[in-house]
Amino acid sequence: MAPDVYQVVAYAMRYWFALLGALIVWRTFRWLRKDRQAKHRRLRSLPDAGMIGELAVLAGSDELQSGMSVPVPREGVLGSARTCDITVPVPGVAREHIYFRYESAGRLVIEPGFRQICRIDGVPVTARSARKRPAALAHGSVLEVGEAALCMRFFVGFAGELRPALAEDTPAAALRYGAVPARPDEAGSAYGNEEVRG
Amino acid sequence: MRRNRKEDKARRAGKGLVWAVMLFFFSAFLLLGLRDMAYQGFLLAVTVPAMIWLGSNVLPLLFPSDRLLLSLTNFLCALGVLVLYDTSPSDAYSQMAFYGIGIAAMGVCIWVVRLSGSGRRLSRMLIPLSLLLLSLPLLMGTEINGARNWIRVAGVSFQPSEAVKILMLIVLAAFMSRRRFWIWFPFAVVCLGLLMLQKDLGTALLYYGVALLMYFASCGSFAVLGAGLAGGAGAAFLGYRMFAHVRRRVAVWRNPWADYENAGYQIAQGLMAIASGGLLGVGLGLGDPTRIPEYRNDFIFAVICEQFGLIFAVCVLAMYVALVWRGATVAMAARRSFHGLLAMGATLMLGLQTFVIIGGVIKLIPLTGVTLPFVSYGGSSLLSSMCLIGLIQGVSSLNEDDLREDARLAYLGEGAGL
Repeated sequence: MAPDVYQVVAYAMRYWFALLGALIVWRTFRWLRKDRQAKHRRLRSLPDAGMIGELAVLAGSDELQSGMSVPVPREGVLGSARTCDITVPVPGVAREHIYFRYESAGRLVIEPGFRQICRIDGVPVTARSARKRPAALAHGSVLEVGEAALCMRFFVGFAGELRPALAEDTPAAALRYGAVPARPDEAGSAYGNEEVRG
Repeated sequence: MRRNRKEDKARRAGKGLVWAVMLFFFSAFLLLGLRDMAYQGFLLAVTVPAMIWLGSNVLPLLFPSDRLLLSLTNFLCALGVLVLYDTSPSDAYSQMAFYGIGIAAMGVCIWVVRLSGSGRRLSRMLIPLSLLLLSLPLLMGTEINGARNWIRVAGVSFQPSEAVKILMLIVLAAFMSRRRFWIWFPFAVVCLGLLMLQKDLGTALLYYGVALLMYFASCGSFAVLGAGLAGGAGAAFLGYRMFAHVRRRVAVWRNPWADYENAGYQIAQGLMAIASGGLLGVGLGLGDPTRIPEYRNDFIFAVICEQFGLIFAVCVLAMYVALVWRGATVAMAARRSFHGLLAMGATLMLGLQTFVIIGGVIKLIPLTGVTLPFVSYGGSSLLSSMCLIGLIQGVSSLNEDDLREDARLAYLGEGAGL
């Protein structure tokens, strides 16, 4: 094409390109908005999305009383800090006390932080012992951290094979059935009497 | 019924975007083909839109991916090819070849994310590999533009720091998610030290910014963020006092016209190109972008401004904003902190790199030598950007799987519209 003709055509095409650029941006943000709306609609029908179970509080504090329950995500940190995935504002709980992750059905692996300790069904777990032999919460296990005692309950589909009930003379059974007369979910709500988001 | 209508609308929005992008590149390459009356231009007018269509519609069938992210990536990569074809056609062909390799690399990254679990084993292997790669330029590197950050292996030059970007993100995400401060922190410090020794300050700035923001995302502490920013400002001041080329760059940033013939030449040419473009540009294929020394790499945004104008340049910026928005959405929807931090880190890396180079070109901040993701010429840069997108895509696909699993467990299945 002759250079002067091309110059006129290219000059005229500037408007076309600006228009298409604006159209592309509008379409992109429209897609983003529609996708966001669709995702919200899906999540509205799945209130427990992202949670694998809950920790029912057997012994806690004024802020986290017995009978409450805390939803448990797949992975995260349990501690007294507000930024933790599970916040346990109870004396004796460090800001970031335990790292946990859902490994397989009915198994929430627990790794205490450096110089932290917790108990699973009465058995002490430290960072060193967890490195040697991984410690995990099963459905119904009791986690003692600081002055708090929390009972793990997996949701349907995450629990795997349910283990048999504990003998009545074990400390875990005493904590679970002796200290709390009514189980939290018997109050009617999905999260017990009061819901606490971690 | 109502839900189906809404989903149709969302699907139509996606189709509309892909067709608009295809139309844009068809008309642009056709115009360049008419200018030269060369078959290459007409061939590209067909192949580039065809690749965009395949990339947006067929790739999601091959591996689980986010179609919007794919469309945005395709648009930006094709824009790079278009600008390169106008200024230096042979570079455009090699950029297209790297785009094809980048698609494969993206697919690999998607599967790495899907198979890596919590990233523990992978991250342990990646620490020595990253340090080895970053040390290579100090041992056998060549100095380009004042930085000793390139190595040449079997006739191919590449920047190890581009590959380490990906590895570093995986390591940081794995250890930050488990609050292993005393593992990731020394690793990040050593990486930064090696980059400083190579005098690759632009990449060091990116690494520092991304590590700091990822740590903020993992712990949510404003005190840490403030301390990190103060530390960064202190390091920048020290760098200013210690390195002569940093002082020169700051001087050029303050007044490029004072040394227009030498140090300020590039940035002054870039500013003149942006100004001459005006609102609508001088026209595709017109103007004189080759006057800018680094018109293919660092200053490609100035070439876009000159040829397409400020309105289109703002549209390109908006595409980057949409990319970052989408990446952040994917990161926040992730169920595992490793995946969330990984997607957030990849998004921050792309966003920060875009800000640093565009800010440098428009004289908002001092210029540092980094490339404009997806658009600038360069195999290492394009591949690393595609890998970053692959990491985000991998997390996005896991999020989709988790949502489906939740719906299945809630006995909703198709009733939930999934």
